[in-house]
Amino acid sequence: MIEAFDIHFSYAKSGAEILRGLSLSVADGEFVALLGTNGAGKSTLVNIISGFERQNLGRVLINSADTTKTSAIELAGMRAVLEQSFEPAFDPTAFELVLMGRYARTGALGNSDEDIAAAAESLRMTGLSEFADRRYSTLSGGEKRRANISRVLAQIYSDNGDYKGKNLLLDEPCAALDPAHSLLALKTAKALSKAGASVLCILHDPNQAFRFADKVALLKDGKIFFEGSPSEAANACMLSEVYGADCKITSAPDGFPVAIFC
Amino acid sequence: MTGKRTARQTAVFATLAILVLSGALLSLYIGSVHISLPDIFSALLAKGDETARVVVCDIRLPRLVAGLLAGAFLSCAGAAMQSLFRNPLADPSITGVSAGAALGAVLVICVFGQGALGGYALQAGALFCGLAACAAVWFLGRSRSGGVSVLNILLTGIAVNAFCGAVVGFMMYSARESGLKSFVFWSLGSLDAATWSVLVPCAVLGGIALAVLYLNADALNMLHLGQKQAFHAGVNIRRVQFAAMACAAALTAVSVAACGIIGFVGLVVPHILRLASGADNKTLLPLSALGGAALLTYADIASRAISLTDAVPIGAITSFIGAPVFLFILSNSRQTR
Repeated sequence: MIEAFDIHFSYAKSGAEILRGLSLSVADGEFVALLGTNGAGKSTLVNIISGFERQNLGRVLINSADTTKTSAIELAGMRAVLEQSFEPAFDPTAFELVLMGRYARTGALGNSDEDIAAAAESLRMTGLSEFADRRYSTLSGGEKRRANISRVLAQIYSDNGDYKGKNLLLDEPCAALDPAHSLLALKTAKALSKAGASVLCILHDPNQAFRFADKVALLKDGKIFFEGSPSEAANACMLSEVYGADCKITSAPDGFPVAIFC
Repeated sequence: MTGKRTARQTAVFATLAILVLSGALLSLYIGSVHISLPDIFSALLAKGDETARVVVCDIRLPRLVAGLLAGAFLSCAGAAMQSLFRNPLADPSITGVSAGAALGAVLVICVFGQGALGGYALQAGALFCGLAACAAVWFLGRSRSGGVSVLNILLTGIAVNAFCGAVVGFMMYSARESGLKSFVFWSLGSLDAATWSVLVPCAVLGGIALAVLYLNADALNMLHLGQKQAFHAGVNIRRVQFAAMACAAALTAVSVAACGIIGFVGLVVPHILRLASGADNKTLLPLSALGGAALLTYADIASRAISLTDAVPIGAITSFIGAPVFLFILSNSRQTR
C-alpha cells in the first residue's frame, strides 16, 4: 500500500516548483497508471515515493511506514522500483544484473539457491531466459529494459505467489519495448497486482492505461488533475487539455476505449 | 556475482598465489651477500648463521613484506575506488590521499630534519595529512544538497592533489640537495626505509581496512548500478560510500607512509584482474591483494637487479612495466568485445 500526502518538490537550482501539494494512494491489489506530459514531474514523484528523493515537504507511507524513517534495506523488502534507463558499470551479464535485485535478501554467505531460482524465474517472466549469460552491453535497448524489469521482479519475488504488502513502482516499463513485449510487461504487472501487490506505473500511452489500470491518475501543474476509473479517464475534452493536443475517443473491437491524438 | 567461484577464477587465484610465493623466495634470495636457499629457510626459523639471520630477517624480509603489503593495499584501494566511482580509471590517488600523505611526510622532514626518515613521526605525519586531504576532498566534494556527487569528488581530488604536489615541490626546492633524495623517495616510492617498527602498525591498520572493505564487497558491487538503483535495491548509500572512501584512504595512506607514492599499481592491477575474472568485489578484492603483492615484489626484484647498491625507485619500475602491459591488455580486450 502506498500513500503520499501533500507532496511538494522544487528543484534546488532554479527553485521552480514542480510538485505542488500532490496526494495519491495505491491500495493493496490496485494497479494505478500515472499519466502526464513530459516534464510534468512523474519520475520525480516516483523518486519521492521510493524514498530516494528526500528533499520534499509532505509524507510518504509505504505499508504505513514513513519512508524517511525507514532504512534502505527495509524499504527494499517492501517495494521495488524500475528506474528510467541507465548503464551499469563493468558490464554484468543479464543474470548477474537480475541477481543484484536480490541484494536485500542475500545473506553474508552470498546468493542462496532461492536467489538463483528467483532470478531465473524473473528472467523467464520477461522472456529473457536465453539471454542470461549475455553481457548487458550486447543487449538491445528493449532487451536491456526487460533485463531491468526482471531485476525488479526478482527483488519482490514471492515463491508462494502471494504479493500482498509488495509495492511496485514502474517508470515507463514499456519504453523501448515492441508491442508484444509491452503487453507482456503490463500483463506481468497486472498479474502481480491481482496477486495482492500495489502497482504504480508511469505510462505514456493512455490506451495502455485504459486497458490495464484499475485507476488512472493524470498529473498536471504539479497536482493530480484527475483521478478515477479508466472509463472516466477516457474523456476527449480532458485528455486534450492535459496533453495539449486534440484528442478523440473511439473504442477497440473488445470494448476498451481508445484515445487518438491528431 | 553468483557467489560461486568459476574454474577461471580458481585458475587466476592459483597463478597469482604461485607468483607471490616464487617472487617472495626470489626476493629473499637475491642481494649483495650470497645466502643459499637452505640457509634462508633456517634464518627464517631463527636458526643458523648470525650474519645470514640479520641479512634475511632484518634487511630482506622487511623489504619483502613492505612490497607485499603496499601492493595488496594499493590494489584493493584501487578496486574499491573503481567500484565507488563506477569508473575503471579511478585510482587511490584520486582521493587526494597519496599527495596529502607525501606532503605530511615532507612537512615532518622539514620540521625535524632528515633524522626523521624512518621514524614514527614521519609515518604519523604522512598518515595524518593523507587522511586529512581525503577528508577535505570528501567534504568539499559533496553537493550542496548533502548528497555525494562522484564527479564533484573526482574534480575536488584532482585540485587537492595538485595543491599538495605544489607545496611538496616548493618545500623540496627550498630544501635543496638534502631534500632531493627524500623528494625522490616520496614521489617515486621506495622499499628502502622499511623496518619492522614501521611495518607492524601499517599492517595492523591496513588489515583492518581490508577486512571492512571486504565486508562491504556486496554493497560495493551494487554501486555499479548507480546510486539510485543501489538505494532502491536496499543499499545504505552513504554508509557504503563512506566505508569505501575511508578504507581506501587508510590503505593508501599507510602504504605511502611506509613506501612513498608508488603509482600505477592501484589503477592497473584491479583493472587487469577485472578483465580476467569479473567485477564481483567478493573475488576481485582478494585477487587484487595477491596481484598487487606479486607486482610490487617483482618490481622490487627488478629494481635491485638493475643496481644492487642503489635501487631504482620502485614507482618508476611499476609504471615502466605496468604501462605497456596495461596497453597490451586493453587493446586485446577491445578486440574481443
